[in-house]
Amino acid sequence: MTSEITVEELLKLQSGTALEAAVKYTLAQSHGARAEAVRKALDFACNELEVNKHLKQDLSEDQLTIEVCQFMNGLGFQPRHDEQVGGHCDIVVRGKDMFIWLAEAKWHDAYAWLDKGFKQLSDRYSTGVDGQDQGEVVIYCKNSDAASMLDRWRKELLDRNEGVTTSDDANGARLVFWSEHLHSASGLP
Amino acid sequence: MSAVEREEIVEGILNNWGRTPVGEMCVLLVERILSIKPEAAAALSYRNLLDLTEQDAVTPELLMALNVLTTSEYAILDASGFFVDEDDESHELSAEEFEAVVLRNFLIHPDLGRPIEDPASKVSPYFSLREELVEGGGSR
Repeated sequence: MTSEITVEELLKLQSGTALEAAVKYTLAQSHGARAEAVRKALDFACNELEVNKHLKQDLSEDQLTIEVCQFMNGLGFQPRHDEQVGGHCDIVVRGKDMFIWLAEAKWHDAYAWLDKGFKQLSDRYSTGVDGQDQGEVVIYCKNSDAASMLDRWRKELLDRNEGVTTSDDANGARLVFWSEHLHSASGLP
Repeated sequence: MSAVEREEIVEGILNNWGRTPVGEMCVLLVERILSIKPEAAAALSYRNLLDLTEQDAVTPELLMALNVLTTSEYAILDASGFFVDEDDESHELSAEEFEAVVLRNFLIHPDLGRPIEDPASKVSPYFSLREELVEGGGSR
């Protein structure tokens, strides 16, 4: 047993908090681990909006996205709002070894609007190379039944985009699904 | 590292994180880490960082600041890990080995080739000043 602080102690102290995502991002040695930590931090940022939805529901897309960025920034991530990466991307997180994670954030009012966000991310903003091949469409939604909206969007996404496959969240999150496709520029998944 | 480069890093941190607890902790760490001998800055455990910042316990501000200083465009540190076996021998881990401990609590003994039980309790993270920032190192 070492007298130094161990990985176990460090993670146990932060378990189940947004800080756990920050620590995992700090210690990440691969792009996969970096992306996972960013996704987790985003979950906590979005949950803050959900918890305070009565105060947030009239904010614009940009205002909400800036709040998400501020939350992540406070954890020591370096998200940028509206940064140029082949266009103005809503959230850009840059990290070690040329890691770039992107997100487009949309208020849901039409599925075509969400599809626009998906296409911007997948074709226009991302390079699709290793470490720059992951991102998310973040949906701000006032619908009373978000799960049904998400189911419908999943079908719309598949109908509107060839070669896309989707999967449920591996951790069982009900208001998330994942998609995969070959990147048009890199030819990689 | 030149005084100008140090100033640029501090300025960049303050532009992004401001005079917040995280920003202040980042600046404190930068000043302290860059003022110690390169040999000492090559392996900084959390205990070393607590000593450097004169704190008794790991705080959220320290963890957030280390995130900035390890992953952002103002990063000065790289994170790694070392394993202490039952003979009290210390083994520096590869990036892959360290990540497997953090994410899956899995490690094969680097010398003996057998799986280690609960390696997360025997592996400690440490930070090194990035090679290119050490005086005489390559350019950034």
